[in-house]
This record gives sequence, C-alpha cells and structure tokens, in this order.
Amino acid sequence: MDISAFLASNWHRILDLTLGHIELSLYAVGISLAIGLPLGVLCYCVRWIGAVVLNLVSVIYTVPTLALFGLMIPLLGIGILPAIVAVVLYSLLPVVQGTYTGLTAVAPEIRESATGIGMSYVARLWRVELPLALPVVFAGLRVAVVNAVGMMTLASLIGAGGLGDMVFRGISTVSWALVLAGSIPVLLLAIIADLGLRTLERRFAARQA
Amino acid sequence: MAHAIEFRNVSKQFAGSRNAVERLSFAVEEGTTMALVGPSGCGKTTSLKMINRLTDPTDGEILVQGRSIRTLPLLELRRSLGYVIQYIGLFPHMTVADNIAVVPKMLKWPKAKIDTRVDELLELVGLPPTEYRYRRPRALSGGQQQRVGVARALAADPPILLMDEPFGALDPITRLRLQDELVQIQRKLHKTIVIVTHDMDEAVRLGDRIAVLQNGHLVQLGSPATVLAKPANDFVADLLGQDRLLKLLRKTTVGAAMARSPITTDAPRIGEKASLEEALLALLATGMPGAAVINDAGRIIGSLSAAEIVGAAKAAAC
Amino acid sequence: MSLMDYISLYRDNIIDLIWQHLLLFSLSLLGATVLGIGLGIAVARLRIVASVIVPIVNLLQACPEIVLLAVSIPLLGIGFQGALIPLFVKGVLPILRNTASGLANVDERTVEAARGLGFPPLQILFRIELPSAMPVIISGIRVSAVMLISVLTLTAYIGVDSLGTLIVQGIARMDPIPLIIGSILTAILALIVNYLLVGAERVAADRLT
Repeated sequence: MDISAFLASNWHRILDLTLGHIELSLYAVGISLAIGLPLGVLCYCVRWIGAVVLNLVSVIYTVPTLALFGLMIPLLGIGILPAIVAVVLYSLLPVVQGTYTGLTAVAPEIRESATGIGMSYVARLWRVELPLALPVVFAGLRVAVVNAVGMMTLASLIGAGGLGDMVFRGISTVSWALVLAGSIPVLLLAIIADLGLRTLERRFAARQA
Repeated sequence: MAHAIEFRNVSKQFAGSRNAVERLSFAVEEGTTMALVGPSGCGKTTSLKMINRLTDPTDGEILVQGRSIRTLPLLELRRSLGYVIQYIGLFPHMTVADNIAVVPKMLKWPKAKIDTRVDELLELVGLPPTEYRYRRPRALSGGQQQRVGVARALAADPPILLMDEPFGALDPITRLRLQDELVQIQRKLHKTIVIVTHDMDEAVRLGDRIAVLQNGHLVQLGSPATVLAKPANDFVADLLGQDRLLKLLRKTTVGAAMARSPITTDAPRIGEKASLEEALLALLATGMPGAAVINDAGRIIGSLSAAEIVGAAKAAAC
Repeated sequence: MSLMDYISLYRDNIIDLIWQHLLLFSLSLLGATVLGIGLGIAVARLRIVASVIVPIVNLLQACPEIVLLAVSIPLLGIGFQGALIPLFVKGVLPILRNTASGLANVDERTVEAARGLGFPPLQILFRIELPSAMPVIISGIRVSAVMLISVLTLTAYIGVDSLGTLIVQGIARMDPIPLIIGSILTAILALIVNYLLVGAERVAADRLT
C-alpha cells in the first residue's frame, strides 16, 4: 500500500496510539521518579543501603528489556500494569544513579562550609546539596524518559498497547507502511523528549556551576 | 574574665595514626587575633575544626567564653562562630546576597533586617551592594569571592571568627590586599579571631599572638615580635626565614624607638608611624648615620640612628 | 513440563542459541569498537567532524532499538545484516562519546611535554593520549557491550536467531520456562561481560599510576 494513502486513512488510529504511548510512558517515568529520587537520596545518606541498592538496580538494568516484559507475565499477567512495572524497574537505574552521583559530586568544601556555618544535616541536604545535584538528577531523568518511550514500544507484546501495536503488526505482516507509521512517532517522541530535556538541563546547569 | 577560647590539654587522634594534636593548651583573649601556624600536617586545621566541632577531640576540653563546647547545642555553637575556609565554599546556586544571608535566615531574622545587614557587610568588605548583591559567585574573581566568604562569616555578628587558610587560594597581591583589609575590619569590629595559616608572614601580619605547631605539638606561643626575635628552636627559625629580623623591624614603629639626639639638617626625614624597616632602608639609601623623625604635621620630634634601630630590635625581643 | 525437562529436551538447541548470540555480539561489538574509536579520535581532533557527528550521535542515541530494527527491514531486508547493522550503529555511540571525551581530558601538560621532547603527532596519539584515555574508552566499550547483549534479544523479531528466540517463544506461548531460560542466560552473559570489562578498565587505570 502507498504510505501517504495509508497515513491519510489511518491518522486517527496513529494519533490514538501515540497518545496512549505518551500516557503509559509518563506514568512509568512519574512513578520511577517518585521512587528513584528518594531512593537516590537514601543511597547517599546511608552508605550500606547505597551499596545494596545501586548494585541491585544495575543488575536489573542488565536484564534484557524484552525479558523484563516477558518475566512480568508469570508475575502480573498481561496488560498495562505489568508493562508499567517493567518500565519503572528499568528506569530506576538512571534516576537513582543520577541522584546519587549528583549528591556525591557536591564539592567537599561546600559541604564543609555548610556544616561549619551551622546548617543541620537536613537543611544542608535540602538547601545546598539537592539544588546543586539538580542538573545531574535531570540528566538521569532525561535518560529515563528516552528509555521509557523506546521501551514502551515493546509493551504491546504483553498487551499494553501503544505504538508497538503497529510496529509489531507491521513486522509480522511484512508491511513497510505499518512499521513506519508506528516507528516514526516513537522516534519523534524520543527525539523531542531528548532535545527538550537537554535544553532544560542546560538551563539548570547554567543557573549555577 | 573568661578567655574567649581556651584549649585545655586537647589531644586528637585519628583512627590508626599518631596523634594529630598532642596535649594542646592555649588561650585566646577577647578581641585579639591568634594565628595558628605550621607546615601542613602539623595539626593546625584539626585544632581549628575542633572549635566548631567539625571534629571532636579525643581527649581534653575546649571552652568558648568560659563554657565547655560539649555542653553547648551543636548548631547554635556553630552559628555563633563565623567560619571562613580556603576554598571559600560559597554556595554556587545562591546569589551573593543569599550566601551572606544564610545564617541570619537560619536564625529567623526579619527580612528587612537581613537586607540591611547584607548591604552593610558588602560595604564593609568593599563590594558596592548595588553592583554585587545579585551576582552569582562564579561571576566574581577569587579575591571578591573570598570577601563574600568573610562577609558571610560575619553575617550574624558572631563574637568569634574562625579562618582556615582564608587567603591560601589567592595570588600574592590579592592576598596582601585582603590581609590589609582584614586588619582594617578588625580595627572596627574587635572580633576574636583564630586564623590558621602555613604562611609565617601572614601570621606575623595578622596575629596579635602566634602559636607555632609542629607534629601536633605547640612549640612556641607568643607575640609576633617575640617569635621573630627569639624563635624557640631551629624549626621555628626556619619557618620564619632568613629575613626574620627584618620582619621584626617591620613590626616596630619609628615612634617607639626614636631618641632625642641632635640631628643634622641634611638627614633624611621619616614619619613616626613608619616601620623601623622603612627607616633602615632610608638610612641605607642615603648613606646617612641618622634620620629625623617627623610627626603627621611635619614637625621634627626626634631622631633615629642605626644604633637605636639595633637597640629597639633587642628590646622587642625581651 | 518442568524447567529441567525443558533443558534436557532442548539442550542442543539452547547451546546453539548461546553461540549464535555470542557470534552476533562479537561481530557487532568489534565493528562498533573500531568505528567508535576511529570516529571518537576524529571528533576530538577536527572541529568540523564534531559539529556534524555529535548531533547525529545524539539523535541516534535517542532512537529506540526496536525502531531501528524495524526500520532496517525495508532498507536491508530480513536477515543477518538487517539485524547487525542497526545494533552496531547503536553500539558505536557510547564508545565514540567516551573516546572523544577521554581524549579531550588528557592532561594538556603531558601532551606539551611530549611535543617538547620531539614526538611526532601519531606517536603522541598512540603512546600518550590513547593510553591516558584508555580507562574511559574501555568504560564506553563496557556500556556498549552490556547494551548489545541485551538488545540482541530483539533480533528474534526480525527472524535472526539469538537467545531472544527463547524469550519470544515464551511470550508468544505464554510459557514462562523458555522465557526464564532466555532471560537468565542473557543476564548472565551481560554480567560476565560487564565484570570482565570492569577488570580491563581497572588494569588500564592501574597502568597509568
């Protein structure tokens, strides 16, 4: 089938899938941020927890994304929930590691003068260390978002929908038009998210450094 | 009256190493400057950090204004001690004004009072508030950053100021200028200052008293003149350098050493507030045996010969 | 069927898939390393190359792997080269980036000293700069390698066998056994490769001190 004709008759469905894709990705990133940020702070504050958690999230990261989705089936069945859980697990590493690295990278003399000046531990964390770690946290978040958008394509394999529906149907029916109609929006989403967050990141970094 | 700061037999041992500080005892009087000086690793920074409890002594006791610091609430203690460090440690994400306001904000001062205080301090350290208030630290030179560091330490008007190599990261010219300014500020404020430095010149210039540390031991404690004139051992003499006697002359004024012998009219003239070093240089430059001492009004009030300079150096040593 | 039954029944098959996975992995990593280091040197040296390649690299980095694979079907056809090329492209990026930043961070004074001693430019590159940047370059190779091991599972979807074949089978038949075998084997491979290269990184760093 001619691609432009295909797009003309299917744009509605593509838009639907794109919106669904965005929604799923946002849920996943939101949840992993809500879990990962405090976890990263905890890793920084309590050394042994840091050692355990950082190793754990990096091991999760080595599990192939495809397998991570697959492994959800025996645990949570199929559908949206297991898909989001899989992406959250995978997105934890960049968020936790970004937070942890950002906090660790705060210069020792800044930490010392905050303490020496009489800031409590919590005040130092909240008013000095976290604001300074923000650009690195943001870089981690960007990686997480870009990963999540791409990974959500695989979510269709366990029945969670999204643009993967089109890509995989295209692959199995050897239809170029379907593959492209599914892939291009994913690509655009990933690129837009990447560029947008890069810009924000740069703005954050420029405000201090 | 109680001393502003007192060390009583203070020792500090870090896990698995020899004592960093060994039975250290000394006192700092209200409104004076104490310079802790010695090579790196001598225990001077550790001693300073024990005062604001960034590290705690293994043994002995430290008193601030007569009270053992162990009995004082930690954060209140630290907020009552201004703290300036070598790498300045300004918070890069805050403006100059916010940096200075950190402690007053923690003390919950009203906003108007904080604003006035910030401007007042910026004036004091020679940074016009309208120009510098909203700048960020990275937009300042090293010297300007350190001025802000001093202003931040002074913000809540702490009676005591702790300074750890405050000018160590600056170029020699800026360092000299900031040392002079600190002397000026101290003349106005009369804080009790403890300053840690490896630079004997800085210690001589800023300290009312100097404590020389070697391997955690106090090897000499005294006024700059005493230390310059009578170093306790070779180690202190080495720290002072070959020109220690010249430095001694630098610390004494002409007015304190002059005599009233008659003087020839072609003798060089020297102000009574000049240092003996300047007077000696004037004699050397003109080849004359003596100089006429004049006061601010330009009237001759006395005379100074090479013999009197030598005599004054001897006297200072006692 | 139990896990043990499955393994004894399909033993030869599983071993074949491991070899196939390793073959794909070695080829793509080898290609990615050669190209990544070469381009990295070019980026560090020539400003024009950097201004062209860096944005392309950032864009490609944001592309989800499955999209790269899917899009390569119409372009390269189903089969070996269709699977290898997009993966290899994705694998180039971390190596390129680390080579460029590793070279950019070599101590200026060392290079100057070498120049002062009369080293020719190529010798400076091979005997001074590359060895200094080696730990960072190897760390880029490690990131690529771990990613490639995991991403290679996706080739199963475009008809090229790998450990992903087991995972895809498992998902398609809702059978956790091949799924778990495929996932665990892939994760183990990723962990082994990771630790080997961490070791190499350490050796390269030790040689510098």
